[in-house]
Amino acid sequence: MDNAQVRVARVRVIVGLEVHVQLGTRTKLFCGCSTRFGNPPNSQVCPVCCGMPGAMPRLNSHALELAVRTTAALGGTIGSPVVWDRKQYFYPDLPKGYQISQLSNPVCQGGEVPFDIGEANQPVEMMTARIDHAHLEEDAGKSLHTGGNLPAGRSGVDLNRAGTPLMEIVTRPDFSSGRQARMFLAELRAMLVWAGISDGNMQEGNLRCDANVNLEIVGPENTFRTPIVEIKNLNSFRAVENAIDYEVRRQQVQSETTGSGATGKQTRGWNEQQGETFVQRDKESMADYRYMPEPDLPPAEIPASMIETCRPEPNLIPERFRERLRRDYGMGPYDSRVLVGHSREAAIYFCAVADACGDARMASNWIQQDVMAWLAEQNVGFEQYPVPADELARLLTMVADGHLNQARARDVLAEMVRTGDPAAQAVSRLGIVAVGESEIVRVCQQILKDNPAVAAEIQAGNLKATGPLIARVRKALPDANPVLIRQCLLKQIGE
Amino acid sequence: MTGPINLETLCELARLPLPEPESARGELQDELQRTLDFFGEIAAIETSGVEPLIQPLDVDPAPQPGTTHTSLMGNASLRDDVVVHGMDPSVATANAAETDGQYFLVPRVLK
Amino acid sequence: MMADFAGRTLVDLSGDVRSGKILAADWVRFCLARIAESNDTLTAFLAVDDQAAIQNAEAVDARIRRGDKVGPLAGVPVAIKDNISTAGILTTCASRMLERYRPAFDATVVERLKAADAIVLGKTNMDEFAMGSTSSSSAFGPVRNPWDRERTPGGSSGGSAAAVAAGMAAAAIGSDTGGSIRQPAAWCGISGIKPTWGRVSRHGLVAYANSLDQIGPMARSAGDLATILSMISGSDQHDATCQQKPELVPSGLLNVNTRELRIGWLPSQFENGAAGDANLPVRKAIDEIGGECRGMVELHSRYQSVLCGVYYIIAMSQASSNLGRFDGVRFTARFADNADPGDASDQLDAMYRQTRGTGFGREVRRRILLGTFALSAGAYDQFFSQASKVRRLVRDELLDMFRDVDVILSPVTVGPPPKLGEKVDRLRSYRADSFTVAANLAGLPAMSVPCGMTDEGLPVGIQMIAAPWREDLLLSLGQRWQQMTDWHLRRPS
Repeated sequence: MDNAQVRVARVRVIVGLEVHVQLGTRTKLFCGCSTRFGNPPNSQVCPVCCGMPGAMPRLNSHALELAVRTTAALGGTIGSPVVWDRKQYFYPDLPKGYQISQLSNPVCQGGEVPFDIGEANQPVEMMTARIDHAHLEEDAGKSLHTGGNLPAGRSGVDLNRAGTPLMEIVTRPDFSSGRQARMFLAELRAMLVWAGISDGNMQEGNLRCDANVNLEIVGPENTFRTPIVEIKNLNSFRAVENAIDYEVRRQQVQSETTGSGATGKQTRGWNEQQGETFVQRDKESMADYRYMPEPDLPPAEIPASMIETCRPEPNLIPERFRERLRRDYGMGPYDSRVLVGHSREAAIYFCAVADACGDARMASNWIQQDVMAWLAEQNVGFEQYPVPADELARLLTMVADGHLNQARARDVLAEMVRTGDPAAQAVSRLGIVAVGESEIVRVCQQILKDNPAVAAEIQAGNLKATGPLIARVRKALPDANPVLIRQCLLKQIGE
Repeated sequence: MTGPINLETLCELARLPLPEPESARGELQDELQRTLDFFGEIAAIETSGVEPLIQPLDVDPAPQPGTTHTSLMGNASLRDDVVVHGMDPSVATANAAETDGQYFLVPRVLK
Repeated sequence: MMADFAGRTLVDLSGDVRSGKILAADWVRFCLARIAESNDTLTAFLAVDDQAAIQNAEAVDARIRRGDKVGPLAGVPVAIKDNISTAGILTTCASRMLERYRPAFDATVVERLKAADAIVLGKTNMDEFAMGSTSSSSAFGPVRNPWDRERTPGGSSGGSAAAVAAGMAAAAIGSDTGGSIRQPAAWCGISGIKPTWGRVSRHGLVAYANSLDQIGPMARSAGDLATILSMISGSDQHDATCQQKPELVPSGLLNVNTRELRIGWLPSQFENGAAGDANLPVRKAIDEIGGECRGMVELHSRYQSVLCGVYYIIAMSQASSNLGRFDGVRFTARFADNADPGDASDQLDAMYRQTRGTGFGREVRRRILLGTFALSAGAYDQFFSQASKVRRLVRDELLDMFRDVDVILSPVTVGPPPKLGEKVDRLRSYRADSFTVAANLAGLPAMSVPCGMTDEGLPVGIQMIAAPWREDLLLSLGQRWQQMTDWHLRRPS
């Protein structure tokens, strides 16, 4: 069982997620202000996103298109026409006193996300999370409570983020542990990033998550559920997993002491340092949002055929891609997870290299060891890797054919990365010349002659002793392929 | 017809002060109640199966001739995703009750 | 010697400005003089920018002298209701809440008027946030009716109506949520039209109830309304609900053959003392107009008695939402003493409460509370949702009527304007809007033109309503009526 930390087996953990995703648009949902992150406060605002009197919203067509793409990726049904509702509450960073959102007819209704909950080199274990719905809404601004040059006792309000388009994706309560929720979130994030819907940048808050957690406790006399707790604003995968697991333990302990779900529905926050959730708001002060249909935005009809054109190719769905690597390239769960998990570009690069050199295993090893290491060091993505897939494939073919040994091939790759040269040119630039077989035979004969004792030892069956001899041959012939040297030595000893 | 309103809750939701002195509250409460009873007369109209009307007229999306129905192009009520410069911070905050020229300032709120 | 600016229509005068016969600057000075003379009593204007108005008028005159092209409203002095944004010029909505608010942008109507070379004189007084029908809930003093200074001019566009009636402006822009253009036009003896919802951009109009609000012109004659309406209508990138219907041109708006029109009216509106004797002129005008047209059809509505309830629920609900932004943070005044009540979030809430409690007047606070209630969890279905459903029935019934008739004629008001300070029961005053709110609920164009006088010498208006986008029927019929009669030429002494 996944929820190992739950001590009593008759406890069922019920977790659902609300994921807020910032859509990758240049401008805000209802005005032409930029969505760029990190600019000076209130420098990306206009009368619309400041909520100035008389300013009216106008819907960003690209945001709507990304919402349709999200619906297609999740396999949901389009709620057309797209209509809007005002969610009303007072907060300084909510400029209009309401948020334009969707309550009555969300743009995405239903859907599901299949995902793998196996990790590392564990076998593939598929699970499916059902999507309740996903809706479009505008983000609020940001309140600054400390820092800057704020006067004492004052908070500062910055509206640069206000009006940024968000998609809120709400799952059914299908998870039974923090780990499952975390794995789902990772898959969802990859899906959205691959489909070009969001950059998924969690540091900048472009993907954040609320978790609803409660327990069903099956006792000897009665079965009851603890009240649902909503943990707000989880902005890393680790926070999602840890906060949910903490909350499960907390609710269990509480239910054991109180015997039932004594407290009402609660909103809690997550304290990363303490590793604890804490009360933000309890039932008594639960808001009445007085939703009201937005009268200033005309309903936007989505053409029925649009959902078809927005459906992502299978290649653009991470789990389908992993499946393809396992099926068509013979990759194991681990390798397919690492390659696809890195990025869509990594997976596509791998396929191109493997297709061209015909050795998927070798391509996978080189990409995971050499290519990814370099990218990590440079902190860049595959699109900035200087060696095209077909040139890496040429290099690997030279290794496979015995024209280059691994060590020399690494030197060549380094040269290719440095200069951007094709493999052949890099090989000749490094002065590497193919070593003929007769040359290897000649040197091997000489070495065996110089080391008769070692030769005898090998002949007696101690194959480990071949190593030092190979090293001696390589000292004389640095470009020779060690595999060939070994073959040649053993052949001569055998004769 | 209408259940009694809770003036305190309404004022809390609308961020309005309760009338002072306390005696004025009953008066306001009665007045609001009377108005709501008047409004409540609309219950007499049979509306089962009727969809609420939010905008009085259908807004004609006016698709451009020749556009296919697989995209949102040509929906006149939509906007292209093109950045338009809004206001500088000094303009945005020009009417603010309290500002440092960059931020709108409010009594400190702690989450 | 000054030309007779008060006695002629805007169309005539602007023709003379363009041909150089009269100077725009003289026309503007004439209006400014009228303002200087009577605004202290009438309080029609809240802000007047004399210098800018004269400068702009002189610039128009200079262009005309040089032979440059000028706009169709060259030199026309107009007044703008104070809930319509004017860049850099106070836009208070007659509320303390916005007593120092200067918008960063012009409303689209203002932009279009300026582009047509009209001269903006200033901002007119109104009911606070357009919530009222007497223009006496203004935080800056009540507007008085030029016909009888003891009486209200009506509202909420009372300042605009009084300004035109008193010759302080050739025309004015008002807004109409439930009759706020038509009712003061009727009580001040001028013409005013609320166009089809979506005909004129609302960008820059401080919203009262978005799905009911519409901006429209107020002037002396139907012909003047047509000229201004054709300049301010048409789609706008800032208002997604504003539509590009076939462009309006003044001649097109006025050249319908009115003899072909089928006229509808509702006999019930004259029964049970609903309109009383005060509307005898209306009843008479209906017969006169009907006699000039193709025929008369008697109509019956099933919803007359609930119209006001439906209207006020929707208006107040949307108002409670729209007015959430007035919170003391970004552009409103802030009313808060600095005493620290302890807990930080209490201090914020205290600021909200004090700002909204002090900044909003009594009627505004009342409507916010009622709207808040109508949208609250337990009341939504019974109030907002039911009202929106009845609204559909009302609209469909009206659209049905327009299969059989082209224009519906009706009273505008239930009686003459009340005296200022006269205690009027609130529910009674809400019910008094029963003739005007239907057009807003259904989004239809509706106009008020003068059609007679009461025994006390107060003007009476008649309302004309048409199907969506058929302002041309109203304006053509209005003009025909104004060729038959001279009610619109009468001026207060």
